[in-house]
Amino acid sequence: MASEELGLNHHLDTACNTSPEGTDLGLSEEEPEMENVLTETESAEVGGDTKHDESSEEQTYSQETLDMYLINLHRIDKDVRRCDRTYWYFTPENLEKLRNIMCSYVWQHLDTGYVQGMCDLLAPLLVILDDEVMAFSCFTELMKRMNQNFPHGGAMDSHFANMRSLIQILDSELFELMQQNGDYTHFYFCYRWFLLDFKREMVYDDVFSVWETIWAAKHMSSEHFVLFFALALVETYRDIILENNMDFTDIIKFFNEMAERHNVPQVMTMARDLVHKVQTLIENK
Amino acid sequence: METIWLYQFRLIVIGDSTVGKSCLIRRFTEGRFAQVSDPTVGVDFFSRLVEIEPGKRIKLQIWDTAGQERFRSITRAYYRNSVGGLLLFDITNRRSFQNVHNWLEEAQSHVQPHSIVFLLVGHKCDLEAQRQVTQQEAEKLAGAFGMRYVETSARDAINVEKAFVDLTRTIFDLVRNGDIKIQDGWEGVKSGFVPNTVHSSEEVAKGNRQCYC
Repeated sequence: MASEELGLNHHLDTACNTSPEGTDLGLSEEEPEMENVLTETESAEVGGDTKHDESSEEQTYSQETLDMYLINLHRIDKDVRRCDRTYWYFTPENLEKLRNIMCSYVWQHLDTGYVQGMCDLLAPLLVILDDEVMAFSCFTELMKRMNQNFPHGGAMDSHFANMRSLIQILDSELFELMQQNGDYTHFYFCYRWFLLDFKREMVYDDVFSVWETIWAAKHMSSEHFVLFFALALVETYRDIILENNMDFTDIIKFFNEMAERHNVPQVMTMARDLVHKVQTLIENK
Repeated sequence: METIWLYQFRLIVIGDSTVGKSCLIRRFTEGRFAQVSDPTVGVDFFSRLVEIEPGKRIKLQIWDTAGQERFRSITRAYYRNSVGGLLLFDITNRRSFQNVHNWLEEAQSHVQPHSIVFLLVGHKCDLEAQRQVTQQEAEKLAGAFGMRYVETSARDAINVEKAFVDLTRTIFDLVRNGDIKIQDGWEGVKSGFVPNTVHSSEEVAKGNRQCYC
């Protein structure tokens, strides 16, 4: 597996560095954001160098594939450069590791490509493992679950619907307040929570413990621990939300301001209690 | 905690990723500048009060959006309820300028039957040495779209206040003249809490808490 990956990386680097700028910072400005603006010059550059060199390469790739990959590389470069730069681990050297892993992953998942937020999910894994191959494998595994939460996956609405149901069952007073604001699209304040497994809501040490709990819970208590942690975050502040009669924009703003300031062990305890509570409710039905 | 405001305007900020949308909004709402900021995923929300004339305050609700194409399905939903927008490009990134008309099309096709008052913003104007888009051509483009153009810098706090306040004032005039009307089920403009004004029974029945800030 490891040697395969390295081989792939090497091959890709060769393919991608045919652009004269390579991975230079200047590349970012070339990135087309809108799908209908593809850069022809870059395609030409790649085309010039990857012409069916079958003798030395095991496989050749279509121009379309290479173009698509180049667009993704630019997206990755933009985000790697600004990934958790205030955290001690992310030196230029370690950011390069982050980039390598993301490039390898995206190459294998070119149909989806790089989506903003993926760097957030990879970063804690790399910090803990400090090993490209290990972090790559773990990230690939993590993405099997997380993919569905990205816009192309379509699971976000069911998260919102589940949150709505749980709040309805467990906290009718809060439910009533939220109801005034309409449907569960107003659960948008949890969008980032579900997309990134709460990564941006907490400092790194807390991310590690929450993520481990999410992974372990799948085997120990609930496959949907994420949902209960989200619920616990809401319930932790339910009095504040109610007292201030917050509408959904107020709630979004409130949780934005609370990012990295939560008492995570306390929220975690509440999440565990909520799992237990719901399981008891179901058993006694 | 409650502040009295005349109207609430909902604004949306769009443009390619890394043109500086979040930094511009943060400079405006929080008065600070971060050298690096996390890529916005989906949409983000900010708000601030603006005093447009002595004693006349407007509450701005500002939706920050992800620049990446992939989040278009999420950001799309926020056009309809916006009365105003800042369309950003980065003056050091020609591509982001070329994409301006695509952004405008994207917005216009999802805002029906309403419309958005846009301001074209050339951002990062502190990086004059790396400029790839001249002020003249940006002004020309803005003119062609019937917008105004302003150049801003979140880092050096240039024209940030002006960009938001000018847009707010333009919308305020349109509302005052009746060109933009407050409508049920539309969040773009809401009338606020004014002392001695009794809310209509309809509003009360709907449970709107418009006086809350």
